[in-house]
Amino acid sequence: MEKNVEEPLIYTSRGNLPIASLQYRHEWTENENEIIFAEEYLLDGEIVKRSVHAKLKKSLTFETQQATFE
Amino acid sequence: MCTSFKVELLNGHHALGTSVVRAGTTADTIKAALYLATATINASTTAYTATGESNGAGYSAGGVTVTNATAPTSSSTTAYWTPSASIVYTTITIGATDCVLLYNSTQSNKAIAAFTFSSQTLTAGTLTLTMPTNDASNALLRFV
Repeated sequence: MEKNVEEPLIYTSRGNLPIASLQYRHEWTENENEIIFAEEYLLDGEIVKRSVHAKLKKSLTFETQQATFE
Repeated sequence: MCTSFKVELLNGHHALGTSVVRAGTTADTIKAALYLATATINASTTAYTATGESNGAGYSAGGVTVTNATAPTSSSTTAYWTPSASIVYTTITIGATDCVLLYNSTQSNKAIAAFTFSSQTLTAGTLTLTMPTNDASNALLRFV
């Protein structure tokens, strides 16, 4: 009996494509403001899927001040 | 300044100017909209605007609702608040984007804060903005 093995697909700008047909690459970048992880899938050199995970390092700080009576 | 006052500002307890009539006692709905690198969103922004907002497949104007399950609190003399989950835009295709604006959709879309990051394009992908640790040193919004 023949096994029914489905090819894994991934959603892209060109619809669902077999993952095996795509080139995958990723990159980490970090600076004082953020940490970014980006991953890309390419089909014949064209980016058909790009996702980004970002962590912002800097919070917004509101400095409160209170006057004094002299 | 009283630390409790800082927390109560975040909770909408004080109105030192003309107040608004609040619809209820539940937390307001906070949303997060994305903006193109060409947009001008900064500390002068007073409310959500569609001008310069990112657009494309899968992205809805106005952005997404921020998960807010953790009330503002304080530690030592710092009051702080952070969304209780990452802000996620699922399966979107947008051009060069470098800013997210938090705004209060319950209160006439009034702006809260803008955060910038290095310009990113998304192609049928997911943008996940991970929140910092919710404490006095790292929380997203801090009154010190």
